[in-house]
Amino acid sequence: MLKVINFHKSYGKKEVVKGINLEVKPGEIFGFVGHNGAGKTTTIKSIVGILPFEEGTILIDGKDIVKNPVECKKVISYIPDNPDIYEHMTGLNYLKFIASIFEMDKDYFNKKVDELSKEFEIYSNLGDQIKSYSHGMKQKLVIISALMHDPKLLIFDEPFVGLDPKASFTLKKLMKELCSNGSSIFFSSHVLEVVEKLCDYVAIIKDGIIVVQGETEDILKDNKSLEDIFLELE
Amino acid sequence: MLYFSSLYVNMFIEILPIEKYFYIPYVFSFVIFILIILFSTSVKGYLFGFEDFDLLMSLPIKKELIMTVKFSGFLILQYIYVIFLMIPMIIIYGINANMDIIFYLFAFVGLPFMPLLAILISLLIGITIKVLSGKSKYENLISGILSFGLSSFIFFLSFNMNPDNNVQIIKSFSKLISFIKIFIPTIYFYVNGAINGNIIHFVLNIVINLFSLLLAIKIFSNMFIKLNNVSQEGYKVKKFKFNNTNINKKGFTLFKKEFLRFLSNFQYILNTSFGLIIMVGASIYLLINKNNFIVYIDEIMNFGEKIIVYGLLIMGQLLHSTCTTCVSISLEGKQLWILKSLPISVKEIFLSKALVNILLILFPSIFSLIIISFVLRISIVWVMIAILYFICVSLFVSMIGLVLNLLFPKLDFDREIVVIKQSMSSFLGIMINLIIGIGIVFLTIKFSYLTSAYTTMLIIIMFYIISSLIMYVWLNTKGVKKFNNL
Repeated sequence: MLKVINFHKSYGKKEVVKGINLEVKPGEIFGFVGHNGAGKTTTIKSIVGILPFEEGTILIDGKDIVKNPVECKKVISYIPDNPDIYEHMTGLNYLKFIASIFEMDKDYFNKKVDELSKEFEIYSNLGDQIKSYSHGMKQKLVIISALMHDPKLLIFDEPFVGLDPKASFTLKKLMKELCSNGSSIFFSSHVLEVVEKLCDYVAIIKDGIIVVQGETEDILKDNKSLEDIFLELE
Repeated sequence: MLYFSSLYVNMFIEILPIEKYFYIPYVFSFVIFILIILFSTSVKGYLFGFEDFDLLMSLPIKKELIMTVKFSGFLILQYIYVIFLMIPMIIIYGINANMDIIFYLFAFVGLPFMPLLAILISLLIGITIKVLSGKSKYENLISGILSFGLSSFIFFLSFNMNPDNNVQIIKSFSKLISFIKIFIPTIYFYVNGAINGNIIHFVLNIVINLFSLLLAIKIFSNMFIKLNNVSQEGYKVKKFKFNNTNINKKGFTLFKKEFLRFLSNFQYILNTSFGLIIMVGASIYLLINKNNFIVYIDEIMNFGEKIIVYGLLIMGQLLHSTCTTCVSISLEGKQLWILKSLPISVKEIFLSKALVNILLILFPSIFSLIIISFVLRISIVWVMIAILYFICVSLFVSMIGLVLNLLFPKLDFDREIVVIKQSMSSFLGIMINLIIGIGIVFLTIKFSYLTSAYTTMLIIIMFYIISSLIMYVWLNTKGVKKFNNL
């Protein structure tokens, strides 16, 4: 579903990602871990077509994000590390905006918004201006907008930041459900316990290079936690 | 501003007899006063509702220091008008009226104090607009209507004072000074103090204005936290019920998003639509007062079709001032990730932004054209040429705005007004459009004797088509790359 081949990215003369390779298969949850500034967000932003890059190939559902950006983005949902969204809109209008870009069916949109907003407990706030939302509420709205059109590939950058425990639980449950239906998830997180429990596959990035990559079971086979492995690499 | 200030002073010196030169400082001080009061429409954007409010208030910095910095920024902006308009006037007037050293001393020392009463009034009006618009669903609409009402009122007053010959100018100025004496005595004290070396008036100007400043600071400090907190809050519905809702087409949604974005900020509207408002207002005025103009209409039309060309170019000049695209990409700010991560091509994004600008120009200009062509009995052929010309200008303006915004983006800002009024792309958008508009008028006047009216218009339209095509190619190649790199 997602293939990152020999991916390099520089800011000016400084190379921040130095030739990484990743693959996320259909139905798989892939955890992307690393310290601050390791290159996680840069990689994620390049995968979803926000940042251009110098070298390498990113394939989404077999299509190149550079050559076919619109086709690739049709199957992606992205949640950024900070939910900066159109504050002058109401929550519902923002969801409608996203739905129309993804050309969602009207009835399906109504059904999904009703379900998801109740699950994330922001149903009664959908008519409010986003400006009045807390950080967590904005995060919930972005999550709903990302999940409502049943994307094949979900790219999340720190999706649990700002969520209350119940919303975190709901998101984890929905992530598993989506993957059991064939979607793939690639997400970064600093909450290593969540990555450990949720992911089929894990990669640890350090200074722009992937230092550990493999199936979660294989990585944790010596009864070590992901935290132990992560700290050993420091 | 320096150039225009010097130009106007010299214009007045040419018109007025030497014994009436003293009108000039009164007129300039009055203009400054009005300009600062008009600035009240921007108070909300400059003093209340900046994004770093929470962060600043949580830092170990005294509240007073934060307020001082914000208020000083507000004052500096007002003083830009004061410095650039008043200093050339003081010097040129002083030389021509043979004023002595006391004049220059009193004029320059009293100058920083002179606008403070206006600043107090501007602040009070700005706060009133903010309080009345509050955090309702229609905050921007209410704030917009109030601000527009104020601007229109001031323009209506100045329009009614507009004289059409030198005797009337002198009469109007005389009336203006009487008005100033009664209603804005600080201006009278400042000017009279400087011109006549009246030390009491000189001191009164300083004392009253200083008191105004202290009062402004007091009011601002009392309202600062309250109004900034209100600015942070959005409106909330009391009881929300989710009804089945329709989903619009992708293209329409993008256009709607851009259009609502435009409407969501009154400064954005005012900064880009003032030319259109003047155009529509003038054409309606022409229609209402049609009978008063009938005498002149035949006289005007006797000049032949060239006069239609000049009229269209003047309208074109107003259209050049309507450039929404020169800041529309910058205004995406931290939300740019939304457009960049959605399945929309960069061309569709450009198109939605350009379309808002194009329609914003075309609807009012065609509306005005219909009225003007009805009143002035302009032939259908010229109406069609005019529509084609407006379409070409709208394409040009929308594309040059996009080009400038891509070359000079400003995505990091704490208040939108910074992008709208102070960014490089906004400045260049205004300047380049002004230069091109005036340049075309100038060249047409200078060389139109060489060709017929139709050929002149054809050349002008060809210029717009060719330059728009060049920009279109640039936008589709380098422009797309520039956008992807943002």
